[in-house]
Amino acid sequence: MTIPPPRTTAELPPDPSGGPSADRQAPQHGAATFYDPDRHPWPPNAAQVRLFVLALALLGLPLAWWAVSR
Amino acid sequence: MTVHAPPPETATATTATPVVGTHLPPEPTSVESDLARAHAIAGLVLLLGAAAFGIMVATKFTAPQFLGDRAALTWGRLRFAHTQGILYAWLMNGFFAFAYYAVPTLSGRPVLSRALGWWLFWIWNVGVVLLGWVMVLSGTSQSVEWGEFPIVVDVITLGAFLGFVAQFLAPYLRRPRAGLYVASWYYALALTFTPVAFVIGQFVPEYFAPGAIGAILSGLWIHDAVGLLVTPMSLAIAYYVIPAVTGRPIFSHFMSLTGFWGLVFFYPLNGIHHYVFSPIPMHTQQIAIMASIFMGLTVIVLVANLLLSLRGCARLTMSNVALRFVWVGTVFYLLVSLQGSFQAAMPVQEQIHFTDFVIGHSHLAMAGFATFIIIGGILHAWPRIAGRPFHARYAHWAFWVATIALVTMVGDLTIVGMQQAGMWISGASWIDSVVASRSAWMIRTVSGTFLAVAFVLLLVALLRRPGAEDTEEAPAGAVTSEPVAARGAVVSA
Repeated sequence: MTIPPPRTTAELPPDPSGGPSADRQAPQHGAATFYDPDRHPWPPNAAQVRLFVLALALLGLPLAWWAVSR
Repeated sequence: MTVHAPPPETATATTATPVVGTHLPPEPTSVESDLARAHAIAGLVLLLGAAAFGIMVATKFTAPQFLGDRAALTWGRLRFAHTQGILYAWLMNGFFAFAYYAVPTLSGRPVLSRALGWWLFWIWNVGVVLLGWVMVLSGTSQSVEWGEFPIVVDVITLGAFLGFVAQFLAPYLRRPRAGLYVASWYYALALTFTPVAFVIGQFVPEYFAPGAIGAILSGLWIHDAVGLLVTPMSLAIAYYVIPAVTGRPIFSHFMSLTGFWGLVFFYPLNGIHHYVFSPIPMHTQQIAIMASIFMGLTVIVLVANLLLSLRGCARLTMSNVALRFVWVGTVFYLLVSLQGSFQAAMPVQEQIHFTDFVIGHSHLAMAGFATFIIIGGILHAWPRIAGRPFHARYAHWAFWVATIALVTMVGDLTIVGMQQAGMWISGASWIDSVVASRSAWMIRTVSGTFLAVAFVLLLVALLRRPGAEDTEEAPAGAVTSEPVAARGAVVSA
């Protein structure tokens, strides 16, 4: 299964509609940039996913139990 | 979040991401500047009307004889005009405006039809908003919360929603790109869910499933309108503006994904928490409450991702008012979501239900989170859709007046809500709680008036041609995209 690459608006092409300030916000449509694969590899490794799910469960389940207690 | 980079060959083999050194060629986009501008101005003008209805409603709390006993200006009708006006007149016009700027840019394709766009503009503003206001003020309404515009208007609204979906989904379907920006995920979510949620919420409870089942479906619509229309459309703006202004990528793709899918999975279940301790089956209420708790945790991840994307950009948020609106709107999103999860819990709900605590919550969501982010989006897009910069001085004033007014209003309503809860639980009489709330209600009216003043300032900022000293300078603290690109973090589509 191919997971689509992450993309952000930082890599948008120039907007031809322009506008006086379009070029004054230089980072607006700069060079193509994406997630830094050194810091945030994609897809995440299994340990990262397990840690996330575990944290969600440990935080969420006690809170949910309290929330439905009368 | 600590992560470890896989070996280069693993990354190449298992991911669809890095193709180093490829820059996307500039592609022609078809930003619909005229439509974007028209919706932005229409939204702000109609927002003044919706806010005026709100101020009238608020004034009647402390001066019940205000506006006399003319039926059209009674509290119930004005409230309908206020709440429906905020959703349809302001928020939806704002979403239309930014989508006409962002969707063609994100997808690289034009919207379905410019002619359809102008039809939708007039149908929306005349056939939905103005007709809806006239009908509810003249006494014709539907007894569905957040669906008070009558059935005639609902039919027109549904048609316009279908046009809205066709208009903005078409660019993505015409020639799908290999990947989608995170902002586009949220557009796809809103465009997919909204017509379904609208039909379920507007038509089914009134005509096909009255009673407790109708209340369940009505509750779903109340929260789906917020969670599956207002929230994703606002988050699309945030995910667009933050990287576009800072020139840096979103902090974490993993957090983007978990935030998005968490919202998709948990939010549709939330709505029934509006009817805790009601005749609706208790397990249905409990599922909604648990979903609300997990939704709060999801929002922590989602907002953390957005705020971490702003690391090191403190100066930029101070100099760039559009980014500042989006940033503060994002913080409001975190606060209102955690507040929502908290107040959905049974031990809290049994105290604050029917109090002004809930009204503070709804204002933090609509006038805080969604409104601030939409304003940020409009200001960001304005130089490109209007062909000239906005008046920065008025925009900065609008920010500070709106922020102080909103924080005052929400804080005031939250405190008086807890006071009302305490009095009711202690067995105090209803009228005693009304008398005790009087000063807080006056503060609410004054702060609401200042909020309307901020909207006027914003309208002036857009319409008034600025002098040379009234435009924003190039962001002093802007982080250019070069360092990121230089590291080779570039992906081909």
